[in-house]
Amino acid sequence: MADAVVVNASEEPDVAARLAAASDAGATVFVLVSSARVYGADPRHDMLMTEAQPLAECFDDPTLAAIADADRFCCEAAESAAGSSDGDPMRIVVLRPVHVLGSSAPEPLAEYLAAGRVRGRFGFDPFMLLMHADDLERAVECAIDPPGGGEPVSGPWNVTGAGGLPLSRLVREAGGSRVTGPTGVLIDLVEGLGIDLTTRMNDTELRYVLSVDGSAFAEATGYEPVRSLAETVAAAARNEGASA
Amino acid sequence: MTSITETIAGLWDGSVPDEIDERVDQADFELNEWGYDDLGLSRDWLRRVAMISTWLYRNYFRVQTSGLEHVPEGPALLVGNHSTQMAYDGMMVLTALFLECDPPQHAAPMGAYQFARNPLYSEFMPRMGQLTGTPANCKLLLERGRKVLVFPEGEEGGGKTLFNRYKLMPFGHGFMRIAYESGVPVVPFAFIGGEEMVPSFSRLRPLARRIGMQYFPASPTGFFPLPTKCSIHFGPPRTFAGDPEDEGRLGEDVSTVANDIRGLCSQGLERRNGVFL
Repeated sequence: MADAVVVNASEEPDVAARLAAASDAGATVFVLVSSARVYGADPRHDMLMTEAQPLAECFDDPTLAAIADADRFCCEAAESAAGSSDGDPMRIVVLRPVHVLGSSAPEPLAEYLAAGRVRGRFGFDPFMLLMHADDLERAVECAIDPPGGGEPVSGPWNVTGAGGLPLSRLVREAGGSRVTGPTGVLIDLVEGLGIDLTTRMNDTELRYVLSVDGSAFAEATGYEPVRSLAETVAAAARNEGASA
Repeated sequence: MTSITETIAGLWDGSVPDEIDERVDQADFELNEWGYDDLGLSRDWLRRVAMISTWLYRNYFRVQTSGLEHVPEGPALLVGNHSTQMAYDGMMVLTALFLECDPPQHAAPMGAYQFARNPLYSEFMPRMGQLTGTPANCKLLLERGRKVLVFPEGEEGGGKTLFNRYKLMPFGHGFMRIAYESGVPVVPFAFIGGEEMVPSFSRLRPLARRIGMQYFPASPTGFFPLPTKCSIHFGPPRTFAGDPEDEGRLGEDVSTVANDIRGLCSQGLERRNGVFL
């Protein structure tokens, strides 16, 4: 097993310092768990975004903006390390998982589902790609040590799970209900009645699909999800790990 | 509260005929336990919409389809003339493949990204297998063995006025680049009856731009279609090979397909007895 440091970008405010510390401590692998959300939900995007496509340039959500900054920083560092003439530089891997359910780390979709009664947008019902926290753990292991003696990977990789569901169906499966309406009208009215529909899912994510292609990581490392879609959805229904 | 489309869905779920259910079940989609594929297509929505489009196909537009023997079972680009203001033509072509082919065939339409910004459209069309019309999305569908429905005239064709009926607007070259790269056959088709379905006298561009659209038909029927008699004519497929960067060659091959479609349109117009009969 490689001497690895794993950092979740949503929990670590200073990824650059952690990266430097890991390098100083002689770690051989640094894995940043970023998010597929860094591509941004945009109707102009390809259905399955690949690692070659650029990250969204700006975000309304400061947490997501910080994750994207950490992602960019680590990708640049990974590129420098790969081109370095040093004998054995630290390998840097950036994982961009789709929405993770059942995790103890902050996950907007899990928190959204755990809230029970949530806001949606009228006429929009994006298809959400999901993965179980156990599969993310498996993906991290594959990034550190590819099973079957595969080539070690570095740089950014999309990671997907067993599939997805439309948001409305997911909310229902998780035992919640969705209040849909144009922002500023129905939502404001409902919230004016004292019903809190606040969510960390940003407005574009409640409207547009954000979907990525995880096949490159699977091919490079042999990773495959072990948890079924039903198990993943069940994790949301049980509010496993959701901190809201 | 469920989504608006799920609520509407419940109203007609029980009345889908067995014939439609059986044909939907014969399609080779990889669906999860909830009936969705990994791109958001929904079995339930396919059957609901197929019920409506079948009624329109058989009873309202009374569509007659010829040349289906030219449509291969595997991936292909189905390329035709565009009309009808509201993509009723695409709906009828998909219905023809669903009803007249054995086993039923499914083609995925591609939509302009502006449409994906519209409420309801954004929710509803992916359930039918429609993706935003990017080259990567088109290739993705072809790699999965799907047929892709292409209207290379784009919105210029879909929103054309009655004065330009059955005149082909300039074709985009994107579909030919994909044909070069993927090697899949290009099947031309003509859709007759669509140009008179929603007769428009102006595109009302200033109004359209204000509401985020490319055109808004100045039509006495609004967006409501008249019961024109429609026909679809598929022609022999062609396979193309070339350099996607060679604009001259691309233009020639696109013209070849446009001429095929023009010929099919002429044949279809000659054969029809009238606009409504």
